[in-house]
Amino acid sequence: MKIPEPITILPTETEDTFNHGKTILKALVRNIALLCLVASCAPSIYVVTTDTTIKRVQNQRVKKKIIYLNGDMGSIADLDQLAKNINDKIWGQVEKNIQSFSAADQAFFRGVKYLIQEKYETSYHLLTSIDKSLYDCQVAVLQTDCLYELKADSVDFKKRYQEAMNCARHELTRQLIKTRYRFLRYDQ
Amino acid sequence: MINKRSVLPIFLALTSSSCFGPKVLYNGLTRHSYTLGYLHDSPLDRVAKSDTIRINVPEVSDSSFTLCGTLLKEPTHVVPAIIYTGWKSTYHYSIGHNVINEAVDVFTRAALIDEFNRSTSLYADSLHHFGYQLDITIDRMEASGPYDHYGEFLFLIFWLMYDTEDHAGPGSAYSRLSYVLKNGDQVLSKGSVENEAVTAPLKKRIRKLMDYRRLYTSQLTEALSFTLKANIESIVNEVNAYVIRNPVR
Repeated sequence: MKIPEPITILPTETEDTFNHGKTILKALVRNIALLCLVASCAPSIYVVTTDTTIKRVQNQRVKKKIIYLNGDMGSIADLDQLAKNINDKIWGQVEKNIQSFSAADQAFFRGVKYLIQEKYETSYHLLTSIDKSLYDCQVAVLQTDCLYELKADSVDFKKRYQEAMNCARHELTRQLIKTRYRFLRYDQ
Repeated sequence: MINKRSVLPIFLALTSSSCFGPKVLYNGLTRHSYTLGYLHDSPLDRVAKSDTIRINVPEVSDSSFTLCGTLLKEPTHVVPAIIYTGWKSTYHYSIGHNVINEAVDVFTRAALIDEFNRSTSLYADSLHHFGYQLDITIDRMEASGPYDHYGEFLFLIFWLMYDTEDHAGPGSAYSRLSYVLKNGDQVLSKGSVENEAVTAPLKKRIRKLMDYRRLYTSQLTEALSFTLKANIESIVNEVNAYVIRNPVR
């Protein structure tokens, strides 16, 4: 029995998709592309998505660690704008965007912001102030992400992701957690 | 005519291809090891456990899954010409125990115990001497796939260009497990389950060759883990279904 499960792990941003053949010409193209990549700001491995963008991001060849803003949190337009500003790292605008949300939502969004800013300790402390099970247990996932980025050796990451997996109710969130674990498998 | 200044790049170009030998490739592929571990996604069954089941350490009867794996080289194809040379080397790589973090038998037992305890009415461990017993045999397991190395070399008197590209996969993994459910010496049920997983082909340029090879081994190990997970879940479901149909009086 064949299981056509795509299991390619692509944990880096520099994966190319060139086909084989005419490799010399492609080397030139690649080098130019590489220069452009180095010259620009390296994107985060984390990406914030909404109902509008989740499918597209999930289907991308280069896998990312997805943070999903559920439509229940606010209007789609507001969430889209917020996600875009976080991903584009327009932090001043992000602070303006989140003012209209509840205190717990604001703490979550700021936790996401600090995570993407690579201020992992700040993010972790902020996220521990809200209930782990909120946002379909993504708070627990993000807490573990922070500890993972901080290289907290004493933490059993698999156990924590498993707990988040047991807690998550939506299949989409469970898929996000599985992807986290794939990164972990590769890095171990 | 090849002048002195051309010797170095030619040498580098040739050695980059000739150094691409089986040993170098094998070392790159087996430099790191990976876990077979996975996240359980079966539903949690929180009802009180009514029976116990002892999971014995599985027997691994498949001797083809070796300690160090294998890397078999197939004939190399070369297109030699004065200003252009192209080549293609093909290998077949099978992972072995050396790229897996856990002992497969111990891992399988632990994964079975976890799966029983989270999704069935049975309490599983490796200690109980009463109640059900489950003997597992790993009849077959493998994870392998092709690994191709392409190269081109172009010599234009004052300008030398070369490029290489590796192409790994698609790989596949397969495992077959058989089980015997017993109560004391009485055989209650037996069966076997099998599963296969395929991996998407990887393509990446030589700039990150070590990462690329790591990724391939990681991918094959993950595929094997996927088949074991599916087989373990099948066994647990079959045993649980049997126990529910045939409760102990």
